[in-house]
Amino acid sequence: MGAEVIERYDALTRYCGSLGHDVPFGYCRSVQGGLPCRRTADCWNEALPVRRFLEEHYTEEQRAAIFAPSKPKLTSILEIVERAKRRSQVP
Amino acid sequence: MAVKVFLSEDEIPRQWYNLAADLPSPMQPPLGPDGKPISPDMLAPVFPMNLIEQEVSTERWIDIPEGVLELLYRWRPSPLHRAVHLEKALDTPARIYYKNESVSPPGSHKPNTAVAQAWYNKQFGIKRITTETGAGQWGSALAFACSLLGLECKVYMVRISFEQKPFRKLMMQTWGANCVASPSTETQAGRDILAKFPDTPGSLGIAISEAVEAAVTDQSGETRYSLGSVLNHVLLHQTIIGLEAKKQLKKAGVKKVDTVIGCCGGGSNFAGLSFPFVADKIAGEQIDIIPVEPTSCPTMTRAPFVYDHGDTAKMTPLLPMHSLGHDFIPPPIHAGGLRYHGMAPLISQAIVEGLLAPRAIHQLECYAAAVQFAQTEGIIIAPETSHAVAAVVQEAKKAKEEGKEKVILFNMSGHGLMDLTGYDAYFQGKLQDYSLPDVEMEKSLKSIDGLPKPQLVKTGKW
Repeated sequence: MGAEVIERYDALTRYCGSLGHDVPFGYCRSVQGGLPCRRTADCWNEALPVRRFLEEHYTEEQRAAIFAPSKPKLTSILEIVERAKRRSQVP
Repeated sequence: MAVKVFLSEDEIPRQWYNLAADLPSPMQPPLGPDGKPISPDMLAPVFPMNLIEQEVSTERWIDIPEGVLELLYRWRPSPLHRAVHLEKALDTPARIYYKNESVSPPGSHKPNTAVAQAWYNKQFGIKRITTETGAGQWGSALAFACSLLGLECKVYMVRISFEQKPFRKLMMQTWGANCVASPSTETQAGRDILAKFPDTPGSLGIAISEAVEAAVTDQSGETRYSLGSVLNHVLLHQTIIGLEAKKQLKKAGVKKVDTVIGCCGGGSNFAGLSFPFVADKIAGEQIDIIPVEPTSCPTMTRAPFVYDHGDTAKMTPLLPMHSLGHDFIPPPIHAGGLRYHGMAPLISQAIVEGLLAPRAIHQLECYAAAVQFAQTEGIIIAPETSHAVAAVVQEAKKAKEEGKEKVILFNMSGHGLMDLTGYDAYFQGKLQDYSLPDVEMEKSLKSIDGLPKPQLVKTGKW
């Protein structure tokens, strides 16, 4: 899947259930620190050969990171607290 | 025939109802990686202790402070409508009632907890509240609440939403909130991301990190974070919906409710209407209580009750909930509030007990019901609310087939005037139904094969 195809895909838009409005594919495939949103495969599977795209462009390890689901709220908040405390201790 | 039933301000319920007190089987606590429950102290940097106390409370009734009631009077008690025009269109013998939560200034049920949380924060000496938002439904509710109390409100709005959805951003600004695009340069989390990806459009995960960091690193100790869904105290504050409905139904001469329905994502609007009726069911009444979810993401209707890790690395705490496994990738559905991986623990346990009868409905059926509701009752509902309306239509048709004059109550949790793109996609024929195939479900559940199974505590009464 070449750069031209990706560029064409990037311009397509679709409703994002998380954010509550339309977003382009280019957003979905780069939202997690350059990696795709974990929902990309499902949100786009009716519009693009998205699973093929993911298999061709990301390693198995990256795909595992991509598809890690959101955590329970309380859990993820506590993790963020720990990260924020660590950051604030770094000079 | 009266199509609306009102309560006066002096008839407003003065206590919230806490289902945790009455669940016949006890709630199982969230566990940390070490297998120990998360303690209130761990949450203290994030939430004020008065809200943490509510989060862990098992008291049945919790007084609504006069100060909170005075805030709620701005739009509460909300009206109870009789959907006579929908009944007529469906030619059903059922009587359909709904609580209209779209009458709040921001247009949804979310201010019920936003004003309570803001008030408790102020009582605790907090001067500033932070939160995150996407398109801005929760952010606008909290901005509104803070404006009523003279609190500073800082909303980290995902940059792409900030740029593409100006109207809720303007609502927040109008209510005096400081709404910034996330990632911002105001937090270390934001600066780190911007250093690596200067042009990033942001994400909800980054926005949450910024909002929590802004709260916990404020050296004055006068800042806390606020969340609008899932947690017990959020569900508690929403129970005013169902408590009002009970009084209004009595005024309308309704002696018995047969069916209670709400859409169920994080669970707050469903819990808000239904938990007071779950109490009646526990006490012996015959009521069908139906949380409705999308067929494409069957968290409640097809998943087993398990302990599930939050991540594939299995480093995060285990939480008992209905789950599709940590490898589950939710499929597409056009309802922003209905995509949670796990359900609120209180609701999970009520399902285990058999007190709730979850139902899944395809999105095309939901939009068809939403359009029918708009063309009969006149209100354009939020996409997630359409799940509840679709279930109401199913129940009303069933009543017609059975020739039963049953009473159906549902929660009209918000209007959809800021979320019309889903309707546009429906009208243009762009939406498709999708349900999780059994083979995908089995594959997903294999990932939790080796995890400890929670003790399935149930009384077997329901």
